[in-house]
Amino acid sequence: MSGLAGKSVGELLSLYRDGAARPAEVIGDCLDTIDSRDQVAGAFLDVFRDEAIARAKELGKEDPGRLPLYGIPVAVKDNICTRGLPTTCASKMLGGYRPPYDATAVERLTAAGAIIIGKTNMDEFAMGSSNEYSAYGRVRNPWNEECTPGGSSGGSAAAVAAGMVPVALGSDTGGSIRQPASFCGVTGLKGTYGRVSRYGLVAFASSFDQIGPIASDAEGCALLMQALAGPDGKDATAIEEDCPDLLSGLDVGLAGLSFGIPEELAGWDLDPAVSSALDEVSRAVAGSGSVPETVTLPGMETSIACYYVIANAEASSNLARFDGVRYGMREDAGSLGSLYASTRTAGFGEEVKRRILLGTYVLSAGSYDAYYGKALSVREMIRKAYSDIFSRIDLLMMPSTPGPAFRLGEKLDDPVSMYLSDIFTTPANVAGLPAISIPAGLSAGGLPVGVQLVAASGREDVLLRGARGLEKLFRFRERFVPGGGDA
Amino acid sequence: MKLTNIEFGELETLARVDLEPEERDRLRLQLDRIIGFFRKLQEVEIGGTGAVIAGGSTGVKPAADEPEDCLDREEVLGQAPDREGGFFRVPPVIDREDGGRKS
Repeated sequence: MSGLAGKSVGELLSLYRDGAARPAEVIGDCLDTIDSRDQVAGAFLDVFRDEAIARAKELGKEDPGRLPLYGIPVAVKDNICTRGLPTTCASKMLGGYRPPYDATAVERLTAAGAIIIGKTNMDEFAMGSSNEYSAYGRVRNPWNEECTPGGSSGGSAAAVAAGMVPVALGSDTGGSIRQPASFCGVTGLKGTYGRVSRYGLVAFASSFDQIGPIASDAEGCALLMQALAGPDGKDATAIEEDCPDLLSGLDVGLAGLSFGIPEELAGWDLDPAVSSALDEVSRAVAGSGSVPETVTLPGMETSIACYYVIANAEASSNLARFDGVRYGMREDAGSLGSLYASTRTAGFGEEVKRRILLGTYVLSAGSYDAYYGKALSVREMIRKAYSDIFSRIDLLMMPSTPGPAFRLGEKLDDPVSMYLSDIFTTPANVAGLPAISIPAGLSAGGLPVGVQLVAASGREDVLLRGARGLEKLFRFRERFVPGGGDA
Repeated sequence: MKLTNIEFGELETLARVDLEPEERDRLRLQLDRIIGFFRKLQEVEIGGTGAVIAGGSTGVKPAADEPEDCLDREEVLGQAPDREGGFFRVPPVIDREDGGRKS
């Protein structure tokens, strides 16, 4: 049966339960779709063809109702470790690396019945907002091949948008799930900091990094997150409490939820499609009996500066492990010091070097207090401000990005402009809050735009309920398909 | 304030990278601009708010001090660019009279 790869997670589970499809058929269709579409998209770095077919055959012998993600093909961002299978972080530094263990996220998905089908392209070490910083080629946006899919989880978002897989894992440090989801017209969820174990996620900025799903709808994100979430003895920062039930209240609707909208949005140059989507939400919320409250957010540009100082500081420390000694590439040299430098110089791309140098600067004597120390204090202020906001409202709505996907190469020579494309996504990382991007409509140029919801710490259940409500309002998946405009 | 060539060279040494002149010139200018953007933080009045390193609101809980299974040594060493027996092999760390090189 063709068209299976483009089904949602919920649709596939229904087909399995009704006996209308088998895992081997679904995997076969995903592999065929990848073969036909990925030569242009460049979303996958590796496809685990034989392993996925073998696993689908095994699952075919089991009861479809026994496992919550029975037979669901999942593409995994290439910074998430897969035992014995390539994990490169899209860097020459880790070319050929095969980790000796699975990430907890991968273990949990597999235990829930999912099939890992391959690894997706990304910005090198998750540092970027356009997927142009991959050492293995850029990814193209399925809606317009001349545009970026966003980043850093651009391969995961493009794979879902192009109908190659129903769902993929991304990682979100400053918006790397939500921004590409918005650019590609799919749904991307970042949980509360600590909701998903980071064990086996190659560290970029440890106090922000979170693994999360990118799916064609909110239900797919809820199903994946329910399987991914939970305490883990291998990650000291994982939340100790169990994740709330994300599925039973999913379809309750918007009634009874209180919304906030930032007053700062008035000062931003938003794409008309983004403004129109936010207005549509406001009208729908009013129609369900609640009036969105105007809230004042802590300075948005301050938030992004705070984010980049802390993220780069942590990156410069985390990436010190790549030295040519224990794994990855090595450039031989006569002394240990020169081996480190020559390996890192040859192995890292320019954006990674830029961030390591920035992180080194903000941590160095003379700069530490003014930048890193100050950013840590500002982060605490921002957290408290958001905590206060969420004592009054359930959900904050804002754009995922100011506008649709930009053209390939457009921001490569201007790092600050590239960083500012994360302006609406970084606050949720700085405050450690759960957030989701939902596709809302198309720009005048035919590119998707997204609306973002942010919820209180630990309230992914409320977040997903709101997202499901907005999804029914926008009906994006029913109305539009990549390359074709209206569905 | 702009980074001087000497300051940028010190950053390279600390970061263990060794850039080509063209890349060095380009990155130095970009770093100046990005650090200028970071200065927005100086405008923020933090009052008595302290610096907190942990990412989550609940902080970090230490793991129990109990032995656990660890990764298989052969599997781990199998990923090393160079090894000798049960060790990672690297160039000499300590200078010797013969220049630190094995004959």
